[in-house]
Amino acid sequence: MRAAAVSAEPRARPNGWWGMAMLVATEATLFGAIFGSYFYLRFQARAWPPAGIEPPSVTVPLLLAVVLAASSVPMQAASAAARRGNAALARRALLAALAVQAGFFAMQTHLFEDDLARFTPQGSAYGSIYFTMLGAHQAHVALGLLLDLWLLAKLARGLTRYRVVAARAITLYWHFVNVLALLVVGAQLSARI
Amino acid sequence: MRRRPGLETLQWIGLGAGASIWVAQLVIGYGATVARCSAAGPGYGIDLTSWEITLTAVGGAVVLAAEAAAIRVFLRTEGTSYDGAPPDGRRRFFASAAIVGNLLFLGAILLSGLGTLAFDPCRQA
Repeated sequence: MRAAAVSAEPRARPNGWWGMAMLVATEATLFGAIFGSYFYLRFQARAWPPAGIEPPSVTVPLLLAVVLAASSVPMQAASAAARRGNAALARRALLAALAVQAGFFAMQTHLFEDDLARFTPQGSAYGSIYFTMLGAHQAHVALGLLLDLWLLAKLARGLTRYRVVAARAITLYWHFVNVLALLVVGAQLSARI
Repeated sequence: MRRRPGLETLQWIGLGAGASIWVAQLVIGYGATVARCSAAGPGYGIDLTSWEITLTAVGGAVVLAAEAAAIRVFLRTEGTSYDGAPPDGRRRFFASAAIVGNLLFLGAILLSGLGTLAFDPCRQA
């Protein structure tokens, strides 16, 4: 698709973007319930985390969350490039974002397994909500990676109006997942306070 | 002469009012239950049954109004595809989602209200 054709796209947000906004709203409700449960359980407990479980480490989870949040920049660049009709730049920016996000996913999975070796979801309310919160976020990251791969495959064959909408919608999804990463790590690290 | 709300306003009422009132019912109902069931709760004189009936009735009425708004938008955009260009395509899309979503919110509000009324809220299961 030529740049002129894409730049002629109407300025109003497309329905695909609004559909993603609705999905984000429902997922935000889910995470609102998870955060509510986390702090409800925390303030009912005498010790948080309970005796026998070490408080989570600060540096690595915080660093990972910040790195993932930074992937919003190349995602936004990919979306902007697609809207301008620059498919090559959109692909490169998306690849850069994908590399960061995949790195986060791999590291986070490793940390998740490490945590599972030390305590279990069924062992305590802390373990239950901790793994639910981290697991739910990790599942959203995994879905985002699949969306990235699908979009990359589509962009490899050039731009269409449909693909530009997809790039905008997936970028919105990642902004949400990235903000969520900061909130999840904030809740996770609040156990140290 | 009284002005009637336009389609643009109705689409937002249809899409957002049901979700908003469900959240309000959940949060206010939870707050009232926690206040009533706390150690000092009996001293507050909170009649939980009245609170829940009011919240459920108001919530149900708002969701039904939102459903009516969504159906109106849906009917007024007949012949437009939900994937069509904005604003009509977007209105059709919102109305389609809201018609289904509001039914779910109505179910959630009724179940939440009936559950609180049917069971003793101050005793853990």
